Amino acid sequence: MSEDGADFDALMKATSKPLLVAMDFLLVVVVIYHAMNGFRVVLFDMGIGIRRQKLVFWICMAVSAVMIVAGIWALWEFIFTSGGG
Amino acid sequence: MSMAEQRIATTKVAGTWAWFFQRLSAVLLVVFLAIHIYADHFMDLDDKTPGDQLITFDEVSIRLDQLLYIVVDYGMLSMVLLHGLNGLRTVMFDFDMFVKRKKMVDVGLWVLGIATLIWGIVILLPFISG
Repeated sequence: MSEDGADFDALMKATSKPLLVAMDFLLVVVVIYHAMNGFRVVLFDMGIGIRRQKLVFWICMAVSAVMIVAGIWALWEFIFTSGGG
Repeated sequence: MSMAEQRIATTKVAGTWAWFFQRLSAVLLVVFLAIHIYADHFMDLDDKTPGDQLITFDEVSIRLDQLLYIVVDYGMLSMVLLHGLNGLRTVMFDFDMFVKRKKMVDVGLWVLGIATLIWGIVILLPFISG
């Protein structure tokens, strides 16, 4: 394997430490929240749901929660047993 | 000033193009992220058992032999930079920071964005040729 390859694989192994995996999860959570909140803002830009802002907010947050749980569910076995990346 | 008026005022500072490209890049990022998360974090999981290294140079190289992944990776990098730096600019202007130095902020963020894009392009080259 090339030097680049060995460096990269070593880096990926380092990023599988529990603290960094926890930060990965935090990233998933904030990206999903940010995307759904942005979707809400775009809806209002288009004039959709202006009169039902509270409802739209809670629907977006509920969808976020479902997506976050699905992400954790899918990766669960790899989080605690993973050897890398 | 009411919150709605404040919002209109700050949108005027940031500009309509900034507003438009923030939404365009957001939509593209959702598409790129969907492909990225599936291809890079789920697709190959079937061949793995817990304990295996999940991401390796060789596997990434194989993916990056395909034009689709080169387009998705570089496209996503450019859209992340556009969306992130443009968002930072809007927030700065929202808080009345550097509003009188708008030109300087714009030039600074463009230089930062393009330099980071070139850096990212160079970083992927060993995977594409490897």
